[in-house]
Amino acid sequence: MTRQPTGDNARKAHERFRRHDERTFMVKLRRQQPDATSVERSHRNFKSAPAWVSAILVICAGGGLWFFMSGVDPQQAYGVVGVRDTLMQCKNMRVKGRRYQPVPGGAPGELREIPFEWYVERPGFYWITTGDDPGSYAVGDGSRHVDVNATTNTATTGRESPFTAEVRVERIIQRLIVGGVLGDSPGEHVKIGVDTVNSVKADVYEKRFQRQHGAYTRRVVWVDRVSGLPVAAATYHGEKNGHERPFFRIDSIGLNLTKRPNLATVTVPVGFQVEQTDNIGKDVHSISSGHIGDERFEFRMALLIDHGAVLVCWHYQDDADKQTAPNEIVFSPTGAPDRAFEHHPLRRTWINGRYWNWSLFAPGDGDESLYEHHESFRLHVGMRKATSSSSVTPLRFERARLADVILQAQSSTVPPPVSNEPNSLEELMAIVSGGRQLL
Amino acid sequence: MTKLDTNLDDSHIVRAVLEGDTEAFVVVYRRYNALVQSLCWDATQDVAMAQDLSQDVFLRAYSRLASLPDSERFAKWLVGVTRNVCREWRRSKSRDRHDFLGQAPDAAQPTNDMDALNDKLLQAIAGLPERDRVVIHAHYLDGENAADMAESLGLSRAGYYKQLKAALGRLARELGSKEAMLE
Repeated sequence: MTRQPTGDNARKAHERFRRHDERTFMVKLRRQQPDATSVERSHRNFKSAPAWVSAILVICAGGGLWFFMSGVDPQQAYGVVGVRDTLMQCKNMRVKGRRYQPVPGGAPGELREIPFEWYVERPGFYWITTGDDPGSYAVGDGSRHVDVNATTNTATTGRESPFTAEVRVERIIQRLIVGGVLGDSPGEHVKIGVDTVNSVKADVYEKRFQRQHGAYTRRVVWVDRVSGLPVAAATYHGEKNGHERPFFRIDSIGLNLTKRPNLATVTVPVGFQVEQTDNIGKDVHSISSGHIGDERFEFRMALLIDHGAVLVCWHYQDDADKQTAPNEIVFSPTGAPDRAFEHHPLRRTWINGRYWNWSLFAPGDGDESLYEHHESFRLHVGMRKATSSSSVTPLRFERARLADVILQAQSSTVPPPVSNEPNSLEELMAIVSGGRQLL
Repeated sequence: MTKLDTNLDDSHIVRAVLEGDTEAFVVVYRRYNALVQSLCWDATQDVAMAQDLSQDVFLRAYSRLASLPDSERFAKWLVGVTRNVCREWRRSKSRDRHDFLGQAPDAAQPTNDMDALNDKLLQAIAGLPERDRVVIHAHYLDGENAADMAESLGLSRAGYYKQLKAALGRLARELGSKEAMLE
């Protein structure tokens, strides 16, 4: 009888590959020159390259030498790769900039400039300007929240849970700052030049996103050539006729500051009328909402739980016929409507006169790597009378924090009935994988 | 020697190397050498050659690190470099007029039934599609951490386990087994 290999055989067979001749390798590595040609030559098992290949390599090496001698840092090839990760890993950030709005009653194309400033400190401290009045701001520290409105001379304050503050901080970082610097539209950044911003020599990258009827959005980011960190960013909206106007500009980005800036504390300033509320933080979970006829929709928490799989809390209902469930639910990456995700309904709960849905959407075509860098998705919901399509940008959390965030998000966003426990990360991953028994 | 935390992820290590810390590259060498060796063995069927070739893979990866488009995808990129080096080795070998007609003298010769069984297994793995080979090698080389490695190879954890199950199924069929004995 022929003996069949087992898992133990496979492990033993692989033992032969564990030999690490690290010392020899490090000797070779230290001898290695930072150009590709030396590696090609060191490969003793390869035949000599044809003469024309050698000539090209010599030209390339010469070009590299000229590049180096002309004072350009040869290690500047950061591009925008890593910018998102760097921002996502920062402990604190301070961003100052301007946004532009049409002047009410002004001439066509006339814009007014509204300065803004955001300071966030993980996990739960934030201070951001709000509204159009420069004196308005919101501040919170994971225990209390103060919202100061300089226009009405009022201040709303109340307790805020550490989790709500954490979600708010992550939304500011991921939606406002990362979104403001890189954008969440699909497409690649292209280097368009070199510039000096805030006394920093920066590479300038551009990304264009085509919109309907010939309109487009152009995002520009300045990246420090030495550190690879973003220095400034701008967004422009363009029309089919080529007319372009500024929409948003980040003038300075401070990362990992050693000291918290001198900002307003989490107390109501003197001279403001105080409004106490227990409703603090309810807005932070809401992504978008609206009505189409009798039908209303709202999207709340959306979390990226693994490469591509997204957990979404959403509500969609025909007020005239509350028992009707949507007949079409399509979730796909923005710009790739044909790559629909599989819908795994988790729970549909009747709370305060509404059906709230928790859904898990996972890449359905098996090629999950395609979705790793998609930041934005569209949820298309069809009812009997109308269809609606809304943008969803899920929040990302560190893997170590994710399991707890998933439980807290389900409990605090739309509390499930006692008998209906929130789904754990493991349960969600088992659903995605199609059966835990495979593990 | 670098003081770099060996638990750092690939993107941090890549950045450290690009910033001039050559020694940091040893961390990714330790992390992926077994996987690269196993893939080189697929191409060469020769342990000694696979070890030599894997060093060439890392030297090439080091010299071209600045061209890595996404440092998070280092492992996936490294597998691509391995594939290219192995392809070039095959081309070089096919042009070599001094090729041995028989088996290379340094090729491992099975010395007992167990070795023969292990060789049979590895040869069967070598006959699978590349993606199957990568997940199987990662699984048997890195055990519990394999899913982490697979993530950086462009698969989610769930996708990794799906791929692994399918790959083990194909391997079992390749070995003529009616059921998957490999876990």
